[in-house]
Amino acid sequence: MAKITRELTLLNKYGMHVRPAGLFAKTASKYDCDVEVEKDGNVVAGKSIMALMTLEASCGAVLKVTADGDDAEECLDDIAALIGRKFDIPDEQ
Amino acid sequence: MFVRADNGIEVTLADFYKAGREALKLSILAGAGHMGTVISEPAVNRPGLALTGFMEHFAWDRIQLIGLSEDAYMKSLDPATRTARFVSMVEAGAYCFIFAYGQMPSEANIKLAEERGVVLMSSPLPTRRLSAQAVFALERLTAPRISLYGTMIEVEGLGVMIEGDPGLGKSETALGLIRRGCALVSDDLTCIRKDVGNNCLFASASAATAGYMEIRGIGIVNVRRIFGASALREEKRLEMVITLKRLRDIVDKVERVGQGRRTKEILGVEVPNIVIPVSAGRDLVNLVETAVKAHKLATSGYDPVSELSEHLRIRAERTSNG
Repeated sequence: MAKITRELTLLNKYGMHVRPAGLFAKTASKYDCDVEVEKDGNVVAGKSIMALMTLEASCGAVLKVTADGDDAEECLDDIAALIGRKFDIPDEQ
Repeated sequence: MFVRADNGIEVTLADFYKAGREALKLSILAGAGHMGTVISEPAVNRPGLALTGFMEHFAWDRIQLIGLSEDAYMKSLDPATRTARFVSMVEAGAYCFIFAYGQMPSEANIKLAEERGVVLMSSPLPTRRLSAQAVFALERLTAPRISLYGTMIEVEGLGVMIEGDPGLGKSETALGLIRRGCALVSDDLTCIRKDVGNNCLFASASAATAGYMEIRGIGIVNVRRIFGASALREEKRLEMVITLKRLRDIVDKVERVGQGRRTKEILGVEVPNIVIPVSAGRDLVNLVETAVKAHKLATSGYDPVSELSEHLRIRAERTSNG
């Protein structure tokens, strides 16, 4: 079991709105590990779209993403890559 | 699982101004740069005696409210005394004055407040209403709060939060209940505030996502657009928690009689709690609705378990008497 935390900066133009939250939750849900996301002291479940949107994280916001479980490393790699690709949203590159 | 607890949070004048802007109709007259000042004691004080120069037990740590009488008294003083009295309150620690009835402090007073880093505000409200609204806003700001994973819905007039692991069908159950005329408060993440005076809890949605649900397979749903305005409620008292659990996880602990009353503690308030086992073929919408009806009957004094026991006892007596 591993518990890993990484700080990831949102790079896409409009931050954590519906589509990014959906893609984030979908990516996190592929893995068995628990995923939590923290911003400004608020911690929410990384597999919940609704919870992710309540963070109201905008472009440039730093998210502390913590994964806890056997596949934590792969999960964080996947999420970091997704955020790095600006969620593959063409209008927000 | 708990997400956030803001107990013992510090409330600043800026928070107060923002929260009460509509109800209190405040405008800032001086000290706009000092809105970050923490409200040491979230209450209001009418400084009456302090204006006369009597400073013992002056509640400097509260927001000072200047009504017609205080204002008239201050204006009756000569300018030098007026300034001295104001300065002595500020030196005692007073940091914010609100003038009711739209009264305006003198230019000298505003200048002095700016120099001393004191905030002056004005409101058109009469003193008694301003006082009541200010206390109400401060109570709400300082209320203990927590966010919990759960879907909050009003069922038969009762505020119910449905909680349970992801994927057990909280949102789907809420959706079914909405179709039966219940009103949604929040989906997935519920913000809970404690009313300390009445020792009860109020639940609402996060302002960012209020009115929306996520249903797996369908996506984001706008509840108002699909079901109408009556399908939504902004805030509701939390009176019952329904916990969904996989049947295989709790098979030996499932309630079969229903007489033991469980509660769940949230922010120090005991809330009635029912655990409903989830398994294929169990109609959760119907179960939640029935659980709520049974709970309402129970709280009104009706006890089906005693009734059935009595019924069985009478039948047994009849049989044994031949």
